[in-house]
Amino acid sequence: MRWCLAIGCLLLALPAAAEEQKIGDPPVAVNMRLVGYSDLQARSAYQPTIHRQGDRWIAYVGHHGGSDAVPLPVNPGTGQAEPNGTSIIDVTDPAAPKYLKHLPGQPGTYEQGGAQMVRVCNGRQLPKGDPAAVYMLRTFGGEAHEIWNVAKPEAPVLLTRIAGLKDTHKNWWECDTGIAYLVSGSPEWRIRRMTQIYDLSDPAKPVKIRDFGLVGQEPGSTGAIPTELHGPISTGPEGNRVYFGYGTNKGGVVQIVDREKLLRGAPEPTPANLAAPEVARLTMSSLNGAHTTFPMLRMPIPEFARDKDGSTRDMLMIVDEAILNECNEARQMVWFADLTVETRPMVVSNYTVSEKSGDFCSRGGRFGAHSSNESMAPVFYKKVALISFFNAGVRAIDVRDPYAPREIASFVPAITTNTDKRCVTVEGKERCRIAIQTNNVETDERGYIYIVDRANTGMHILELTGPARAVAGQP
Amino acid sequence: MRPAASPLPLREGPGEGWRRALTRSAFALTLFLASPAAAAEPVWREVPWPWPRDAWPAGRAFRCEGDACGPRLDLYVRAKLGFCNCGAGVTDDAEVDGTSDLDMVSARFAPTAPGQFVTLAGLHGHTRPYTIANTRAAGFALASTCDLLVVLALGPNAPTPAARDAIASWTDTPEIRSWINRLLGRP
Repeated sequence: MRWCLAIGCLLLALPAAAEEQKIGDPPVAVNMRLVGYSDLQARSAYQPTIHRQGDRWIAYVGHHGGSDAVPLPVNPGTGQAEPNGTSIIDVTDPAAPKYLKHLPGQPGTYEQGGAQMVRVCNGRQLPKGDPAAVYMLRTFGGEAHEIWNVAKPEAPVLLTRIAGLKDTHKNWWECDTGIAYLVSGSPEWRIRRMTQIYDLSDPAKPVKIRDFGLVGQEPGSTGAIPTELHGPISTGPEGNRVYFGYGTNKGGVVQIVDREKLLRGAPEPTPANLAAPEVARLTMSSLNGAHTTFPMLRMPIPEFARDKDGSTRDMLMIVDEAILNECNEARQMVWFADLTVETRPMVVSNYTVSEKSGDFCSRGGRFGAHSSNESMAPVFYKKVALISFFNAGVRAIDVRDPYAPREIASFVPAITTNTDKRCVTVEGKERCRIAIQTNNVETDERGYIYIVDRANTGMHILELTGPARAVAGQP
Repeated sequence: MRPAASPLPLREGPGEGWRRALTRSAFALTLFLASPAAAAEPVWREVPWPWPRDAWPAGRAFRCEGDACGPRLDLYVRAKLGFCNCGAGVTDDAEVDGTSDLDMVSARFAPTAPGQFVTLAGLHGHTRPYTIANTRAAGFALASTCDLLVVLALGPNAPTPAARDAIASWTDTPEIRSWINRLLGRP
């Protein structure tokens, strides 16, 4: 009888987990706390970058284009309908974010418009920057990269435009050297996205260094075209490596590149010149892509502490991106590769949210990984990684032992009236559901976590609590 | 053990010999009964998908015999969900080069002419002719909102207008059109 009751309770409990989110439902938090919130004017969000400017902390949030239903959301600050671009928010008091400015982007819906990507460098750190300036590098839809002076974040001033491109995406900008790896679509290249490397040490005078990509992508080549770029992360002159992630949810390739050879090598995009700076590559399963390639070098591995060799490892966290709604693809997740023997990279562990834990394939929208925080500030670096997981919200992973990563905290925001539907076609008919779609995550040096939503729900500012906070060593 | 890549000529699956014999008998009967003009009509039959697993689920493979198809025309059809520019569709030859599954056959292929617009199964896109693995090919990349339908035709006549017409007719038959619509979640 007791067993029957237990099974009955279990059966009663299961449908509750499978329910779609409803307006009014509370967020689901484990070892995380909601500190503050901005609705981002109900714009679909991609990259958040949090930057300290004097005694202020400013969040710059890139947006996708608008939706079919609302292609030009109204900016309450101006009363104007504006194509999605960049939101600029003062988060000095994270409990009370102040929306300062919406800077419109390229007209167009979804990935056809907006200004998805944003990075920020102080002028005093850039070798030839104006010390009084703060520079924001952003994409302008697919057609251009722009640099703005945001020393007064409520009144950005356009400085530079690199235009004539067929696509853009997830750039990387070294603030100490000014070298920028711009994910671009040069019209002559055989793929939508490749890398254009610029010296932006003087943001007012961009100097192109070279075009770069995998051999076979360059103009004039024939045969199979390797997977297109998603984005790079550089360790700068000190680490002398750039980790390029190719593929999004398919055919992933991680390319490890010697930065010095990349920047100093012959720039003509011949097969030999493109191959020259490559140190090694990790060809992933075709079922997964490389969205984010986040280096965590020289990590002591607790389990190997007493081993005479190999107790410290160079690790790379690879995050795939889920792109199809309701699990209509292979699971996109997180992989940890050991690069200690750099020419023989090997995946040694992985992490995914348990689908069953929230019946996420049935909740609507995308389920799977999208990206990680990219800040290397000591507060979280090599201790806690934050992963955006679409309808499963954000997940905090203890990566102190990257051979055995484990989830320590999570937060799935509540949906609002702004949250947009996500649809699939079932037997010829469109079926739509509304679910949170946590798209990107970033952290600041104070330890706050910023997550933004692809389905227009806005930005949630979080902090770790309890045992998860202890993992990061936060008071 | 995975099947080897680039199985040219196509390998046949279990029972395929019987199917082939039956098809040939039917084909011979057709030849006997029909007029000379009708005998030139393409005859299509399904063959096993011969390629190893890659990033996308397997599709369906068909073989055509008949004057329009040449001595043999092999057709490989599958969907690549979420792999198309949702707004612009298929806009240039590079997309056909990169998506139309030529690399299943060989990494070494070369286009022989610029591509052109094409419509198959009610979908718009581009097609382009190639040489690959000592034969000729035509790649098709067709847009269905954010999804792609890719078709690879292999055979000496693959890039000819007659073969393209035969492929268009085949992919427009109720059975194939209905399957393609199911694949792409179209009504």
